[in-house]
Amino acid sequence: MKSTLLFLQGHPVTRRVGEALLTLLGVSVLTFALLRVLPGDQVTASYGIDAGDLSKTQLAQLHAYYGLDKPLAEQFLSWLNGVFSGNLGFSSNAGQSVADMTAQALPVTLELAVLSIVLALVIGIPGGMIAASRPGALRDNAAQTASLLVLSAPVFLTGSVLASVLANSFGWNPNGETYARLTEDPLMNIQQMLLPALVLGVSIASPIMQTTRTAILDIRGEDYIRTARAKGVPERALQVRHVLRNALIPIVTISGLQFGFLLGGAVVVEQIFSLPGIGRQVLLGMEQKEYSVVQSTVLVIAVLFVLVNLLTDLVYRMVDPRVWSR
Amino acid sequence: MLTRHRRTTRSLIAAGASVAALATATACSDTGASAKGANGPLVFGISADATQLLPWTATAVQSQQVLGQVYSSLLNQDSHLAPVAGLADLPAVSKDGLTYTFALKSGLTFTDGSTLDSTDVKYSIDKILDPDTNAVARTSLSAVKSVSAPDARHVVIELRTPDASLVSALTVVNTAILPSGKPLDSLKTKPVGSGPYAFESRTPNQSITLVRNAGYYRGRPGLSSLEFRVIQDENSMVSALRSGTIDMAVFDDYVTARTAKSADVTTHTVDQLDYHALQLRPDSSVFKDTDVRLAVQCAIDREQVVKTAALGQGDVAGPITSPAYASDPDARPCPTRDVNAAKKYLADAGKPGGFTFTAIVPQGLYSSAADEAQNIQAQLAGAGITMKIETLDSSAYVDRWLAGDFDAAVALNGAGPDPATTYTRYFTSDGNFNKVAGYRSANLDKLFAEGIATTDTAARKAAYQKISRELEDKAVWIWLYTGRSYIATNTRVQGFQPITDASLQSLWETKLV
Repeated sequence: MKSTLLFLQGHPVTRRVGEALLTLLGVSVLTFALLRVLPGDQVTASYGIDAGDLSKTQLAQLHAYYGLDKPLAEQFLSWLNGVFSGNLGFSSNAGQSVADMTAQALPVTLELAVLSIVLALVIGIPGGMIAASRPGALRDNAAQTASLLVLSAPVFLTGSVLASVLANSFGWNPNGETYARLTEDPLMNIQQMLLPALVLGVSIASPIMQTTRTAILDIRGEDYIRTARAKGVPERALQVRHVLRNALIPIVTISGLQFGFLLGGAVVVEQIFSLPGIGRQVLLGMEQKEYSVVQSTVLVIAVLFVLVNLLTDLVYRMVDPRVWSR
Repeated sequence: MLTRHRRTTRSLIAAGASVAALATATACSDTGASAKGANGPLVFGISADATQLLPWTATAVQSQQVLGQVYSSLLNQDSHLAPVAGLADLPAVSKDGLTYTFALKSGLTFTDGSTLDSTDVKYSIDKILDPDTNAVARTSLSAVKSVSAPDARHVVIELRTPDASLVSALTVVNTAILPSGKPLDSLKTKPVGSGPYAFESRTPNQSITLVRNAGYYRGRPGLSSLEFRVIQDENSMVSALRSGTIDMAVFDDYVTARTAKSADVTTHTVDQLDYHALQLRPDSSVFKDTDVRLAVQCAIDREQVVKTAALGQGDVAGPITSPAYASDPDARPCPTRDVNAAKKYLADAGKPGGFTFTAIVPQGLYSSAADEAQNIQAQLAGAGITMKIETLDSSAYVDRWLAGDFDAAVALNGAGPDPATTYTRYFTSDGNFNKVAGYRSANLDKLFAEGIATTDTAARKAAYQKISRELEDKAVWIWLYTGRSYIATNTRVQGFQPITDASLQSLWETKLV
């Protein structure tokens, strides 16, 4: 028994799970604290300056209704207890439980994230390979310049400009329509996802392209590549099987990290394109000072981020079996 | 090996071609207005969800826009915002001004088919007055002593003291009549009113759909359905208007409204009653001296503020902005900028070298705040007065403002058609916002009491002119200007009458062609 426990303590998976749980607790405490530091609360967010017309008794009743009259530690523990029992809180503005809201919003953001990552990989990896094929040549310079331009343009700008130009010049604005779920109206859904996925995908394609280029150039100089070439391995097979495969580890790493950026970027992009995803849910929760909405949604995002990072670790091990032994 | 590689390449090319074809196909498909029928739905863009569905506690503009179509009040407003008959005719008022008798129209019903009678009116006013309801109109009905329903069609309101502003207070959605037989909790999620449109569904943070109320007491509403669609981003709202995916929207920002204009989108400009002001707090040590406040008044050219901060889209205004009682904006010690007069006031106050103060400025509440602050800062510097700008996010600003924790504030304050509703809470000594205003006087208390003691418009106007003069002569605040709203409609929208304050009261008659 003791040896099993010792094994589990030292096992990389146990260690990672422990780290993940600590991360989630840290995120929860930080979100809770930051929300309480911000001025205003749900009463002033709901009533605005009309809160000044409420008597002290009325204000006290409203604070009690929203659970704001309890000590901070009790508020946090009450929320945490709810989370463990599957109750993420209730949004009085939406008239729904946060769990229900998240169940509706999460698929929207996940669909956006998957489409964006796929687009980013489809653009970034071939772009990096092309740039690395002749370092310093015109194609390399062109790819690097394009990458720099994309990195310099914030998504709120590219998103707004793209949406405005298409709406004003071509009258095409699917995101002005009511949001259509993939299962209900796939054609409209794809139209509504196209621009936001493109904006997010292109923005994260840039670091993927840069990483691909650098990794390929590094690996090309390795002895085993020279050996393979000397043995007569055809150039295309050499690039794909030997160079690209070995360059995948940094590419997988950067793709996993970009997922976090994606969730952050989704807040802005979902706002611009009126997508009812999880990013918009956080933003609205912040505006309306619905603490349980923000805390629970940020926790869900953090869980997703942690899971993707764990998944990234697993992919490392598939790409490079030597990682298992570390 | 090579064959497998070529196969992979071919697959990738095919996949790429498929994505491109799909994108082209979807891009070419119709997303515009052609899918709509002639009678609706009319899609109205709103910048935030209507989260407050109980009209008595609804403070957000978007909630009031939606609920104004679902609920009816006892009285309505005409195109000049004066009270006119609504669910009831204008009341018969007793000679002592203490008894208001309302006669309801016959055959009134709620959208669930139940009858609307005097019981519902009594229930609604009693609930608004109940502190547990937290109704925002409770203060404006505070003179009400009792409500009775002698028969199904008559309602009698007894007042403690005469209050001529009562009829105006009964025109707004915050005093809407709700069905007495429905629990309030159910109305918070599924409103049941007697307005032109009935609530059908709400998808939180996305849209609210209303359908025609065939039993509406004023006639047949023009649209079979009306959708309020949430588009938070202003640029996206403009794009949606120009592409025809929404039919109507209201903007407060001139530049955005101008961007929305096109061959298919018309923009109607209407005046706002809300006023922009530099609030000085005479209670603060910096502004307790009237001469100091007058120096600030004389150092500011209000026209320049309008031209720079509002791009010329506004009118210089005095304290009272409602059309029936409007103040003369020039009736003040310094009708135009007079730096010499400002310096003389400073010398009289014992501050010939000027002084320094801090003004709180909101970020995110309205678009012109920062520009107003910067222009005022530059103008005051010309008279030797240093204004420090403290920019606060909207929540922090509202917190500080409500607490009266400031020397000066750049503000856009709401105003209604009746000056009593607008200013009693600020400038009477027991007003809920007197701490924010930071000024009171026995004369103002007397004048505000006079203003609501009679229903005679001329007598009321005289009282409010005197109030206006005291506020300006003492430079309690620096009233700057009233701005404009812009109602954008596409060419299919017919019959909408744009009126002051961008009121949607004619939306029920609007049709799509």
